[in-house]
Amino acid sequence: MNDVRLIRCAVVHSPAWSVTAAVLHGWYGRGPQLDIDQPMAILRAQRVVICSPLAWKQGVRPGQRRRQAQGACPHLVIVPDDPERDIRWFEPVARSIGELVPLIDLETPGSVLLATRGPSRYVGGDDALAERLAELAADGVERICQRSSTTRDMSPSGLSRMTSADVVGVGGGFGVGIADGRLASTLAARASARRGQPLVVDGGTAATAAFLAPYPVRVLAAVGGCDPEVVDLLERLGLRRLGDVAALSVEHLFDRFAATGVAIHRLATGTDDASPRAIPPPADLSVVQTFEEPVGQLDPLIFAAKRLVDGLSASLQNQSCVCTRILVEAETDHAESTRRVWYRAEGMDAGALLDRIRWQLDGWINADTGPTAGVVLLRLTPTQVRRDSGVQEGFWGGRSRADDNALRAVTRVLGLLGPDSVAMAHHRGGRDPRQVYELVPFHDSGSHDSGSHDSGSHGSGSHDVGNPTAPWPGSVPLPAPALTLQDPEQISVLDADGRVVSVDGRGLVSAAPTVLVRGVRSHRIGAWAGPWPVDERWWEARARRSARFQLVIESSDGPRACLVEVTAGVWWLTADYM
Amino acid sequence: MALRALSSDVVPVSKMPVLARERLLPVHDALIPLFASSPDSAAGLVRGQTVVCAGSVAVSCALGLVAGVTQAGSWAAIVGMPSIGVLAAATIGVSLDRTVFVNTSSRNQAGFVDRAVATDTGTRADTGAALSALIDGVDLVVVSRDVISTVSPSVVRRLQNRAQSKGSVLVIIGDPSATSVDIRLTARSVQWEGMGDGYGHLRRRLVSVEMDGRRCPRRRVHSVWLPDTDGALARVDHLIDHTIDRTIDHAIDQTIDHAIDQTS
Repeated sequence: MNDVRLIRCAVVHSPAWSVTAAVLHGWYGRGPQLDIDQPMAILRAQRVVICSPLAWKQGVRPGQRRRQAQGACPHLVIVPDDPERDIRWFEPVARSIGELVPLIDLETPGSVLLATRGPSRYVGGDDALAERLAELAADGVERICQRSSTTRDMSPSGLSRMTSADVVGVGGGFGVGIADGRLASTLAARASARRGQPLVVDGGTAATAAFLAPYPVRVLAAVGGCDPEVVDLLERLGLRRLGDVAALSVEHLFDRFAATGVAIHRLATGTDDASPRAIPPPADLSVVQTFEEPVGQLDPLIFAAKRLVDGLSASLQNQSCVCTRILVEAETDHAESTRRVWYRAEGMDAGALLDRIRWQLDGWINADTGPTAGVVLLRLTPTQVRRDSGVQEGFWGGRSRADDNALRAVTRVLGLLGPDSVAMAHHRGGRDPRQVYELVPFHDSGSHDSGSHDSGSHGSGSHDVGNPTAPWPGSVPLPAPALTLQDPEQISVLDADGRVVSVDGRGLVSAAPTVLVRGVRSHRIGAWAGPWPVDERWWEARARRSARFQLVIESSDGPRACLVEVTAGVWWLTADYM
Repeated sequence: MALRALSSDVVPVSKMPVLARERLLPVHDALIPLFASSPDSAAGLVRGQTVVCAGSVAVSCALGLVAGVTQAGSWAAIVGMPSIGVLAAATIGVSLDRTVFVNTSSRNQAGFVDRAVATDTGTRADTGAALSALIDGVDLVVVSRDVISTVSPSVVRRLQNRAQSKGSVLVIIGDPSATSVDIRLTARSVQWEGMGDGYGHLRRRLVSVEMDGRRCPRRRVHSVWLPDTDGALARVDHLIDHTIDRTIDHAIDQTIDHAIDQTS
């Protein structure tokens, strides 16, 4: 039996944080720019995960397929799901709240839970605490907007028009709820976000039960960590609201559902808070790593953390458990520390644990007010586990051993060659074959672990190109060149009389190109086609007008094709179909 | 007695004896005839070997090897090739989810040279260590000949030994001079189709790939479309002209799509 009694907690919650994170990533990171006046939705595997309040008003709902959502809202802006992006941009908010409270509990990005007893006394009451938390959360986002300058050009709508409050509003704002127990305070926070005002529920079993009564039973699965099948069964038995469950006697629930039933009853009546599936961890499961020499860099720390995590998962697995709540602590030589509790109702496997440790340490070390010395201690203490049924949720798309090995190798290379040395490809689109994909530094890409890419999918080689993005008008058709020169090489293209070939404003060629001169060598042109005119950014003074041609030149190795471009009478070799 | 009982349980997997230590990495469908030593035995890249892709179609050929490996779930790293055409890689079939691009030049992204780590050759001094880490973690490491030549031959030999023990394959684009090589693939452009004198556009290229090397019992030549009309690596089938069939398939696909759109 669990000894956890109901602790009075406060929850700060943003209903659609992923949307806010995507907007922040677009303006202050490397993501695509998003206009906050447009309805937005986050999609994973072609289904809507969450949508902005604006999109909700137009009829978009979580769980819809992409086409349904677009049917409801044609102007919907679609953003792929990226848990790492969400948590990365939430880090400043978590730290801001962490200034008031030493220990916070992070379940999902956008949601923070903390115990109120100490802070409430310090600030002068629950109401004052709720206001203060709302301020701190808004402050966190404000800091992002102030500290980082935007990496993009000003769009016509203007960056100055967008305040941090607007950005937070895109995701539904921050709600603050204070109540007894995790379930009640989470629900209070959600209600508060809808209302726009902090919500404080009175203490005591009666008040909590009264607050919980009107909520549908489904919240037990969504928020309380119950098995969805059990909740489904409750609904089919006619128990639609928590009040109905609370009205039954414990014995009835025990008869039907055994220990789970008792836990559900306690949750519904506001007398206990334990997730029905949680059990206290076997004693002495904390793992510690001390460093003889203080470690100041993130990558060796993560490497050490990986060893700890592997050992921990192995010993948990031996006892058929998986960790649901873990305390991660790191201390430096100068007695600075970071302590955070991570919680996930379904349990965290080795990969998920390592991710959270990385987010926590990354945010701490790389912050402005980060530690002044190297880390000497890293400790992981599971405080709550649950029985592992052996079925992996596969929430993150499933990591294989090959993925882990590759990640480890990349981490080492990043440590050796620097943070920009490893990149992955992201689809961007464009007329120029060089622009369709861009190489994004590894830690910014997030694609090595995002749920939107199914690393086990078949035929995923064409997965990116098969996207339903229409080809840009005026783009050079497929197939694409295998070598796209980073620095185009200046060449000469001559006609049969030895004069430089030119292209007029209407795209007509002065004469058929016959010879390509590259350095001291000249090659005969066997076939040519074009021009594909490029007339980009015509609104700028330095407009770019050029024309692209495909050429096949004859060489001793057989026919070789290349892509050339002429701008203001000068010819450049831009790509080779090697 | 026990041995005889055991032999009845053992079922021959293939007619050609495959050495127990050797394991294979998968290759693209279109290249299988090159790698199969006989019609029944398994075809693939032998783990631990060093492969060189040479000729005028060397880069695309190397991308074809990356495609075969990454589609099956393994990871690949492309080292020291900042000009690589990522779109071409995607259309050839490379799984970009499992491919990392590593920059070994002493120029960082902004184009500035980091004097602390630059060597005379313009690459970083710790390239060898980085290659070693990649050989440990990924199954296929593609590296340009230029990067290999900046690393001393003894280090290259050590890297090759490491690849053998870890079971990764090292692919070098371009002919390296002082390195021992197990398999050499020479990819030559035979013909480009689709473009004339001022009309059309590049459609597809017929490429002949020749395989030889000290691990090859005899020289083998095979033709492929690299790239095909949609940028893929494809078998050459003289009997049926696939271009016509594909356009018909496309038209049928679109009408079905349309019908679904209208009903949903």
